Amino acid sequence: MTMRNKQTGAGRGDIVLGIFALFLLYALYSSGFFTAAAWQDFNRRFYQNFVKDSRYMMLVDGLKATIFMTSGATLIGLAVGLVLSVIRVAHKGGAHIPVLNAMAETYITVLRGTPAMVQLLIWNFTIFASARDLNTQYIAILAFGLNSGAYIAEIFRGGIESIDPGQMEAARSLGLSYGTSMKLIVLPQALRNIIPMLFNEFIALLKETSVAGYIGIDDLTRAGQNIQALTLEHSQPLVMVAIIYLVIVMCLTRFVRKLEEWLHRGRRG
Amino acid sequence: MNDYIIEVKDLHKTFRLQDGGELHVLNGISTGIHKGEKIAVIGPSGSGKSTFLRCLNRMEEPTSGIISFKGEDITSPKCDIDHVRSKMCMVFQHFHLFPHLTVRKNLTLAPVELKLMNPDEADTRAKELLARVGLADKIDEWPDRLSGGQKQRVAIARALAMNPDVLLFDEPTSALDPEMIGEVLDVMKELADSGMTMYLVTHEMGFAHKVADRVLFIDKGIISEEGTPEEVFDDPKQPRTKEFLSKVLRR
Amino acid sequence: MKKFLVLLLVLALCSCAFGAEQAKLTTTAQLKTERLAAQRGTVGQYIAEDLLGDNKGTLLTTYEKYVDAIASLRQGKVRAVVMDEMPAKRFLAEVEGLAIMDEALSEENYAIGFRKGNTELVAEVNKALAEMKADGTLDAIFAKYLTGDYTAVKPETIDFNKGAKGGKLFVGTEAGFAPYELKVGSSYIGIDVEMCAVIAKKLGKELVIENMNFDALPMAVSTNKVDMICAGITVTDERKENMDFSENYVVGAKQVAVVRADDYEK
Ligand SMILES: Nc1ncnc2c1ncn2[C@@H]1O[C@H](COP(=O)(O)OP(=O)(O)OP(=O)(O)O)[C@@H](O)[C@H]1O
Ligand SMILES: [Mg+2]
Repeated sequence: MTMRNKQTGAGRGDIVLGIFALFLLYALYSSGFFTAAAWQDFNRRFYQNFVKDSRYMMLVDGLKATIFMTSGATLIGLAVGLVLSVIRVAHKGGAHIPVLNAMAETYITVLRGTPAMVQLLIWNFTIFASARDLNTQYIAILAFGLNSGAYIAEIFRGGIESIDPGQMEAARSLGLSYGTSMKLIVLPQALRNIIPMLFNEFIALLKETSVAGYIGIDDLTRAGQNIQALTLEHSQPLVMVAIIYLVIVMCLTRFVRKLEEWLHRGRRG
Repeated sequence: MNDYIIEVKDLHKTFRLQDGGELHVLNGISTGIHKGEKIAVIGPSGSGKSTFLRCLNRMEEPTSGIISFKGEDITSPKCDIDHVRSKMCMVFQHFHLFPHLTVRKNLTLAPVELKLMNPDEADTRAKELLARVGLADKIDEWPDRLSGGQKQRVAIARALAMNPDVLLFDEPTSALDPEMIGEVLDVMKELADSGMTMYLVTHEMGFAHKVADRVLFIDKGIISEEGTPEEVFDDPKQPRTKEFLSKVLRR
Repeated sequence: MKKFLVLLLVLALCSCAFGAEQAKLTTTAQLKTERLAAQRGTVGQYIAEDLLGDNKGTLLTTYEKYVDAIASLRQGKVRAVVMDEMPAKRFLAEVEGLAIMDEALSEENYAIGFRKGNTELVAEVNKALAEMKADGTLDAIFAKYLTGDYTAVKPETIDFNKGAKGGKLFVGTEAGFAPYELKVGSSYIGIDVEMCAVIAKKLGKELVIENMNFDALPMAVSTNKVDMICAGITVTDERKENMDFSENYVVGAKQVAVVRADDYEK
C-alpha cells in the first residue's frame, strides 16, 4: 500500500543483524578498540561530548524538539489526511464532487511528489519569509504536517478500500444510511489496518524531521551536530544520536506489533 | 391484480462498462409478488438474476422502469430508500456478517440505530431469532469463529431482526460446503412455512420445487418462462428452459 | 541481503589492504591535483574550486559541516581541507594527527551581510562597528576568544538585551564555526555572537540568533527571514552582487589547507 518505509522482516532480520554485529565487532577489534588506551580515550571523549557542562542536555532538548515536531505534524497530518480521504472515498462512493476530488488528488500528487526537505525550505524561506517572530518549529510542524497529510490520506483511503464492498452493501441493505454504514461498519474495520500504518507514518516522520536543522531548528540530529562543533569530534555525538533514534523506533515498532495483535484479536486468519 | 406487495413494470438495467461499451442485463421485466408468496428465480449464470434482485431494493439503480413497494414508487427521487430497505432485507451469497461485531451486535445494530427498537427489545428479539435458527448458544461469538452454515443462519436472523415485509435471498447456499446446505435450507423452509414473503434466487432446484409458489425462469434479461413449480420444472414450454433444466438436473 | 553484506565486507577489507603509498605533500601547489574538501558555501569551497580548475567536479567534496570534512580527511578520503585559519587551529588543538600547511591559500576580510538595498541598517551597523573599534570593545572580544579557553565562556554572560524596546534584531549564523559562533546548551557564544550582542544593544534591540546551515544564510537574509547574517562571512565580489556588506570587522583572515600530519613535510 502506501507505506513509505519497508517494514523490517522478522526472523531473517535476526540473521542479518547477527552478521552485521559480527562485522562490527571485527571492525572494532581491528581498529584496536579493545585496548586499555582506547577505552581511556573513549571515556575521555565521552565525558567531553556528553557529560561536561551537561552537554547531554543539548540532546535532551533536541529530542524534545524532534518529538514535538513529529507529534504536531502527525496531528496536522491526521486532520488533513482525514479530509482528503473523505473527499476521495465519497467521490468514489457516488457523491458528485469532481472539483474537490481533483483538488485533493492534485494535493496528494504534489506533496508526495516533492521531497519534504524542499517543501520545508519553501515554507520557511518563501511563504513564511516575513513571519520572523513565529517559532520556526511551528513552520516545520506545518510543513511536515501538510506533507504527511498526503501520505495519511492514502493510508486512510487504502484502509477503507481494503474493506470488502460487501460490508457496505450489507449495511445499506439493512436500511442504514451511507454515513452510518461508513461510521459503524466500514471505518471500525478499516481502522484496524489504518492504526498500525499511522504509527509507521509517525516513525517515518520522526526520522524525516532530521532535516529540520537546515532551517535552524535544533532537533535531535542538529543537537548532535552542535556538540560536534563544540568538541570537534565526529563520531560519538552522531552515533549517540543514531542510537537514540533507533531505540525510539524499535520501541514504537514493538508497540505497533502488539497493537496489531490486539486489534485483530478474536479473528481467524 | 393490484395486491402485489412489490410490483415491477418494464424494468431495464444497462451497465456502462469501463471500455465505454454498454451491457444490457435486464431487458424489460414485469412481474410482482403477493404478500406471503414465495417466488424462486432460476436461470443460467449471467442471465441477470442477481441484478434483478438488487434492483428491487435499489442496490443497483434501475436504468428505466417502475418498481413499487406497497404502492410507493421506489424509483422516484422522493422515496426514502433507506426506509424501504429496512422492510425488504437481503441475504447474500457470502453472508457479509460484520466481523468486528459479535453475533449479538450484528443482530441488534441496525434495529437500534434506526430506532425501530430500544436496546433491550432488540436484545430480546436477537435471542429469540437466534434460537429460531438454532444458534442460541452463539450469541456472544465472533462471526469469524462460525462455520459457513452458521454464518448464513446468523445472516438470516440479522435480516429477520428488522421485521421485514419481504426477504430477498441471492443464492444463500451457493458458497456453502454441501454438508452445511441442509441446515440453511431447513431454516428457510421454516420461514417459508411461517408465511414470510420471499424472493429466492437459487440453483437448488429441489428446494425451489418444494417451497416456491411460483418460479421465474430468467434468460438474457427477460422472464422467458413463468409458472408453478410443477409447470416449470415438470413440463417446461420453452426450449431454453428445457435445456437449462436438463443441464442442471443432470448435475 | 546476505550476499550484499558479504560483498560489503569484502570491499571493506580490500580498501584496508590496498592503501597505496604516495609522496608526502610539501607545497600548496601540489593540491591542484588532489582530492580536497571544504564546507559547502564557504570561501574555502571557492578557493578549492579555483585551485582545482577543471577537476573540481571530480576532486572536490563539499560538506555541510567542518567536522564532516575533517573526518573525511582523517579517513583518507581527501588529502586536504580548505578552511579558515582560526577554526583550523582549533581542530589542530583538539584532534590528533592534523597539520596546517605553512603557505596560506589566501587572505580575506570578514563582514556582516545584509539584504541588497538595506542601506539604512548597514549604516546603523557600520556606525556601531566604528564605535566598537574606536573604544576597544571589538579588540576585547577578540582577545577573550583568541587567547583564553573560550569553551569555558558561559552563554549567560552575554547580554542579548532581552525585552528591548526597539524590537528584535534577527541575526542568521551557523553555530559550527569556532571561535566565531558556537552553540552551548541552549544558547550561543563566540566572537560574532558577542559582537552582534553589542551592536544590538547600540541599536536598542534584542538580539535573536537564528542558527541555520551556512549555505542557507544568503537565502535567509535575501528573503528577509533575518535582518543580517554574521558567520565569519568572507567578503567576495560575487557575494557583493547579491548582498550588501558592512565594514570589515576582520582583516587578513587566512584560508589554509589542513592536512594529515603524517602526509606533510615542510
Ligand atoms: N456492476 C457491474 N458492472 C458491469 N457489469 C455487471 C455488473 N454487475 C453485473 N454485471 C454483469 O451483468 C450480467 C448479469 O449479472 P448477474 O450477477 O445479474 O447474473 P446472475 O444471473 O446472477 O449470474 P450468477 O448465476 O452467476 O450469479 C453479468 O454478465 C455480469 O457480468
Ligand atoms: Mg448472481
